[in-house]
Order: sequence, then structure tokens, then C-alpha cells
Amino acid sequence: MSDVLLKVSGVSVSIPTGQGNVHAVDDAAFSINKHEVFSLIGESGSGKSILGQAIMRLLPPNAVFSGKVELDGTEISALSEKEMQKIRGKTVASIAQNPYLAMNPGIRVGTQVAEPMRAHLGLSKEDAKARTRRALKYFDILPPEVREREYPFQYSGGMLQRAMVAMGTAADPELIIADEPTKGVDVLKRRNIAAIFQKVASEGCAFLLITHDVGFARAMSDRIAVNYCGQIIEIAGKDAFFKEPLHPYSKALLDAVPERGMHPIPGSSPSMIEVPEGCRFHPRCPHKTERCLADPPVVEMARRCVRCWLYA
Amino acid sequence: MIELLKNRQIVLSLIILGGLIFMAIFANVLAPYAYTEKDLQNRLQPPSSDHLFGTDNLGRDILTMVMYGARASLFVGFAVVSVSLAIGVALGVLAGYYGGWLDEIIMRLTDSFLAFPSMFLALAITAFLGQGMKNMMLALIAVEWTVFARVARGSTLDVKTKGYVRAARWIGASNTYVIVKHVLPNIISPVLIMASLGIGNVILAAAGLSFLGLGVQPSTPEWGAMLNAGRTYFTTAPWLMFFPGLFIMMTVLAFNYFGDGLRDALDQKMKNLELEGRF
Amino acid sequence: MLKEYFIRRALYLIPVLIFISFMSFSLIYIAPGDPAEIMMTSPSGGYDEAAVEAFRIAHGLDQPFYIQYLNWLKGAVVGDFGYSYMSEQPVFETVLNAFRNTLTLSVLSLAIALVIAIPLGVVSALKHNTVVDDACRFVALFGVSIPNFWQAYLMIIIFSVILHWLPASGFGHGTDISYMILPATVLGTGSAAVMMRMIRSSMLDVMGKEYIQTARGKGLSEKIVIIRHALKNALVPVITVVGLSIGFLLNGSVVVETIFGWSGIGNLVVDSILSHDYMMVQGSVLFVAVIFLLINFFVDLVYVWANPEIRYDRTS
Repeated sequence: MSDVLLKVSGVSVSIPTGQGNVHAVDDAAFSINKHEVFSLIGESGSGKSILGQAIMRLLPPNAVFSGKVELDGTEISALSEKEMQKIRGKTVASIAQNPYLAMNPGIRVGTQVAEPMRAHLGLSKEDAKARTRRALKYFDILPPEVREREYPFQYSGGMLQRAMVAMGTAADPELIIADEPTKGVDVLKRRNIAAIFQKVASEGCAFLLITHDVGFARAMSDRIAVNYCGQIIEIAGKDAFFKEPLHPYSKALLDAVPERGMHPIPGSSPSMIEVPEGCRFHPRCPHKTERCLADPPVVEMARRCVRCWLYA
Repeated sequence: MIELLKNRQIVLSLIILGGLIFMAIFANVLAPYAYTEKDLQNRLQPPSSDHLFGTDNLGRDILTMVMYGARASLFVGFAVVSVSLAIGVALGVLAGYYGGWLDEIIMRLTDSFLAFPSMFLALAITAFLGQGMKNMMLALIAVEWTVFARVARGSTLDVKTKGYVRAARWIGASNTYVIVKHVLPNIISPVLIMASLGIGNVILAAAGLSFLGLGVQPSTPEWGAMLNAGRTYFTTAPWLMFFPGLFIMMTVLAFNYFGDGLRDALDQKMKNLELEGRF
Repeated sequence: MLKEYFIRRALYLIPVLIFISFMSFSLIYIAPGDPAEIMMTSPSGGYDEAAVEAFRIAHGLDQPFYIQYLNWLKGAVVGDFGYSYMSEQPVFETVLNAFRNTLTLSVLSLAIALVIAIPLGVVSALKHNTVVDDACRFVALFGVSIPNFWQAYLMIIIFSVILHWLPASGFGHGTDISYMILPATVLGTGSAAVMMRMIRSSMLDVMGKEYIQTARGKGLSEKIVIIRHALKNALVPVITVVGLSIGFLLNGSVVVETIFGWSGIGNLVVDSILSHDYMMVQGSVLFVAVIFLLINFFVDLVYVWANPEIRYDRTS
């Protein structure tokens, strides 16, 4: 058995809108190993979240999907909806960005956390209840006997975030897809989220972190992928990436973080509907040449790859 | 406004409404007979080439009666809604704009009118005022104005919080100026929608009252009154009731369809109007 | 506390109750002519001077307006609405009995309305912007536009005259359900249409929420997602429409009860008007208004209770 847990190859997603087709994901290819924390970083609105939804097969109904997603050797992108339901929440679970929106306001938290257990582990009501209490306790939601009977709006933001992680991990998934877990969150809460995620990861759960937060990705991940305008433009091990980012956009992205002097990236993010021809970053790239008007190749190197003409 | 004409629903309902209004206005030209023309030899005739909708118990041509009936029904609908709109909008804007005790009194008054199921209030008023078209219209105004008062008040409160209105008041614009320039234009859309749905509602209620014999008298050509007159013959000569009823439904449907299309086209926020209990 | 909220809401009813009692009382004064004369005028039109004078003194109609109102209110508060001029029965008892029959019919109509509205509303929302949705919406529009008296006769013709399935009209001692089906269906049609629209938009709103996606992400089947996570939340605002529907049903009862000969309050009011039994009209109208107000008050409380967020928000 290989170590590869999730393998995404040639995945593209476009979503028709009134203004035209949004090319949210273009030719995405990467894999995540078992127990690995993998981050997909990039600016907001660059199609990262759609990729997460595509893996879960929870795209908007009008989205057009192509490509292949394999989980544990099963091609989940070819499963029927019914078979997929057995995977969701069981093998791969997702944790949404805003717990107040992602939890059902009309159902008690305990019931919501217990749902994946009842659906996937075949637990009886009593067993699920006991397990839910243990889960709440594990994530410091105390006292669980009281908290399980409360509704989401009675929780504080941090506690609800933990409840959501408890819900995501309820059926012991092998992979968790977390979408922008630190968006709009203050420094202290960000640290708390990192701590919970690390706690879950230390038990062997793999993560796909979808985030714009470079610092958070650095603290958490084993490997990093950079997303720009719907394309993955670089994948590398964390240390290698932060030591020496290869793609001009990666460099610019790292220079834009406060610790490195907050240098803004020149130009503005391109439209996702009429994407630039050739290399999508070329209009903003300091190294652009004639050949950048043609699609750049994905250049494979030792344990990393980059989509750029500079390395061809 | 041109945008609205691209909406299929609005265009379709406008065509039907236009046809009905045309029929009402030119009833005297279009109708095959005079509505007073009684032909006792040809009583209760089923629909035929001579009488497309048949004849009634006095031998009158039902198609003719239906055409003249459109006049009465549409007139009642438009008149009641116009007066209700004027009263309701005036009170609603006053309440919303000035607030305080004035708002309190007007809104409690509105609540009290709304506390009566509308048909009962209209019945009670016609019962005491006496029957007839004028009294029926007064009764319908009494139940109809509250809808406009509430919508106008809500929209006024909404506009009042807008920055440009607060700015206008701050730089010393008179209240009249602010109401005419800022408040009224903003409440036009919701009020128009409610008016369209209101006309349908009023026509339905008026027909109901006339049907019960408490509105327009059976001798006048009016759809509800025709249904009332046809009750006795509903098993033997169902066409007496069928055609006037069909026209009431078509007219009400067209107004509702128009109001509904208008709501969809004008603003998504208008969805909230459903909470006012109208369609 | 929830109790405090209830009390506050109840206190708020008082000015409206005073207003509606005043309106009901003054109805008799909007009539052209003297109340005693109106009261004593027989349906055929004539009246006896001496009887009018006796009536006037007996009912305190020679007193100032506000004294008359207070006297009347004093009685009304304890359920004394006076006596029917026609039957000489106490108005309150007659009204109460009639209302009980109307209530039976209304409950059945409401049930019919919900049975039609929930599936149609849900299907319409789930098939949003398709032919199915358009068809459901048009049916609903049709439902509020069809005159109930016309629909009543059409149904009588089809189900009683042609098919002989159900009795055309009658009361059947108020317990025989076969007499209720036609009137209840006619009454329920309008409410069903309004509810269906409400359920559709509420369901559409809920299906777009993120927590629905979360529920799917947990691997729940679409059926469970819709029933447990969406429908439950979507139906909460529908509670408010039930109050509205009661208004619809009461309005409809006037015509429908008259046609089907159902001894309810709508029938009572129409009969009383036609026989100039003004005490009965006044009593019925006030009674219906108070009941309607209380039902809406109750519905509001249920809404607060059913909505945990508002429940805790308003009480803490």
C-alpha cells in the first residue's frame, strides 16, 4: 500500500454565471500523503475553496467538473452520489470557515456533532451520545452534559469553532479539508485554531488547509501549494518553499507578508472570467518575456514542481 | 420602466388587463345586445351562436352582461384602491416620518382595523350603512387602507435612516421637501405592487359581497351580482354562474400575476412583502 | 424571562382591544338614522313609535354616547352581548356555538391547506427555476385568485351533482365529516396558496445556507438533509402564516358557510344582516375580532417558542 491518501489529477472546474464562465480551477494536480498537512495558499477569490468543494463533490449544481480525484486508491470522482455519501464525513470531512454560518442554528450542538457517528459508525443513540460527550470534552467544551443541549448561538466563537472540529472529526476521518480556518480571526483565536488542528493532526489525520494566511500555513504544514488565478503554480516542501520560493508569484506573495516588509504585489488580481493568456501571472511578473504568452510547462524537480518558463 | 417590459410575466398580464379594460370601456360598442334587453321567450338558453354565453333567467344575453359587468368590477377595484392608497400612504408616511405619539396612534388604529378579519369588517359596515355600491366601496376602503399604511410606514422608516436623507434634514431642508423629494419616490415601488395585488383583492371581495346580496344590487350588471342571480339555477343552467365567475378569476389572476411580476422585477427585497399577507 | 415577554405582549393588546370594542360599538352610529329605530325596524320596513321609545329607554339609548359605551363594554367584558332581537336568545351563546362549528371546519381546512402546501412549496423550492417550479407558482397564484363562491359551486356540481360522492350542503349535526370535505377544501385553497408561497421562499432561503452544505459534507443523504436540516428551519417562519391563514379562513367562512349551509359564524353574520338582527351582527363581529387578535397573539408566542434564537434573545 502506498502512502498516498488523496490524489488529484487534471481537475478543472468552471462555473457559468451571468457575466460568463468563471474558470475557478484549471488543471489542478497534487497529492496528499497519509498523516500529512498540506496547505493550498493564495489570495481570496483565486478558486481555492472551489477545489475543496470539488474534492468533496459538493460543487454548485451548475458547475462543470473534469478530472480525477482518488482517495485511498478509490476514484471518488466517479462514484455515484450514494456511494459518495458514505465517503463524506467518514473518510474525508470538511470544516467550514465561519462556524456561526456552518452550524445549523435550529439543532442542538450535541445532535449535530453526533450526526456523522450515527450515519457512518452505525452507533446507537446512547453510544453516539456517550461518544459525543467524549468528543466535546476532548475539545474543551465543558461541561459536555450541558453544552450538548445548547444551540450554536449560545456558544462563544472559539468554542463553536472547536465544536465544528469535533463534528468534522466525529467519525475519525483520514483527511480533513479546512476552508479558510483563520479568515477574519484575531491573533489569539488564530493561535487556538492552530493548537486544535495540531492536536487532531498529531492523532494521524491528514489535512488539506485552504488558506490565504501564509503564516498559518507555515506554522502548520508539511508541504505547500500556491494557487494563483485558478492554477496551482508551485508545490514544495515547507522548508524548501520558505527558504527559496521559485515562482515569481510565490516570491511576491512571501514579500507581501508583514514580516518581510509588506511589499504589495504590483498590478491587480486578474478576472477569473477572462483569464490572461499564457502564464496567468505574466501581466504582473517582473521577469516576463515573449514566451510567457504561451502556456508555461509544469517543471518537475526533486520533491517540488513549478509552473513557470524560467525553469523550463 | 422599459426594463419592466422585458419581463414576460408583466407583459402577459398587461395584455390581459389591457383587453379587459378595453372590453369594459367599449362595452356599449362591443356587446352584441343591450344589457337591458330582456327576451322572456329565450330564458335560460344554453350557450349558442346567438348567445355565446347563453341567456339568464330574464332572457338577457350573458356575454353582454359580462362585458358591462367588467365596468362595475374594474371601477370598484380602481376606485377603492386609489382612495385607500391615498389615505394609507398619507397616514403611513406621517407615522413613519414623524414617529413618536403620532406614529403610536396611527399604528394602533391600523392594528385595530387589522384585528377584524377584513370580510367581517366590510360586512359589518355594509350591514349598518345599508346595501348598495357606494356603501360597499366605503366598506372596502375601510379594510384596504391599512395595507398601504403599513407598507408606506415601513418604507418611510427605511428611507429615513439613509445617509442622504439625514444629510438633507441636517442642512435644513424642510420636512415637506424631504418627504416629496426623498420619501415618496422610495415608497413608489412597494406601494405600486401592493396596489396591483390590492385591486385583485378588492374585486374579489366586492364580488363576494355582491354575491351575498350585500353589495351591488342584482339588477345591475356586475359579476358578483350575476353569480348571486344565477345561484338558483346552478344545477339546471350552470352557465349563469360559470362565465361571470370565470371573468372574476381571470381579472384577479391578471392583477395578481402583474403584481407578482412587478415584485420580482423591481426588487429582491420585496420578498418581504409576502409577510404582509398578500400574494 | 419568557414569562415577562408574554406579559409585555399581553399588555400591548389592551389599547387594541379598547379600540376594536369602540369600533364595534359605534357601528350602530354610522348607520343613517336613529339606532332605536334601526333596531326596531322590522325587515319589512315599518316600525312602531311607542315600541321605539320603549326600546330607547330600556336600552339606555337616551343616555349620552360615552355612558352607553361604558354600559355596553361592562356587559361585553363578562360575555353579555345582549339579546338577539329576532330569536331573543343571548347573543354571546349563539355566537359561541356558531364559532365552535366554524372552528371545526377551520381546523380541517388548515390541515388540508398544509397537506397541499408543504409538498408543493418544498418541491417548488428544490426545483427552483424549472418548469415544475413555474407550474407550482402558477397553481398557487390560481389558488388565491379563484373566487371561493364560484369554486364552491363548481365543486358541488362535480362532486355532488355529477359524481354523487359528497352531500351538496348541510350540517350533518356538525360531526359527519362527509359534509365538511367540500367546504373545508374550498376554504383551504386560498390558505394553501399563501402557505405554499411562503414555504417556497423560506425553503429557498434555507437551502442556500452554509449549514446545508455542512450537513451534506457530513455524508447525510439528501433526504435527511432536506427533512432534518432544511424543512425544520424553513417551517418556523410558516408559523406566522398560520395566524394569517386563520384570517383567510374566517373571511372565507362568510361565503362558504352560506353556500354549504354550515351553521358557523359566517353564516350567522350573513343571516343576521339579512334579518336586521343588529345586536347579533355587532356581537359576532366583536367576538370574531377578539378571537382573531388572540389567535395572532398566540401564534406569535408559538413562533417565539419555536425559534430558539429569538426565544433566548427576547427573554434574556
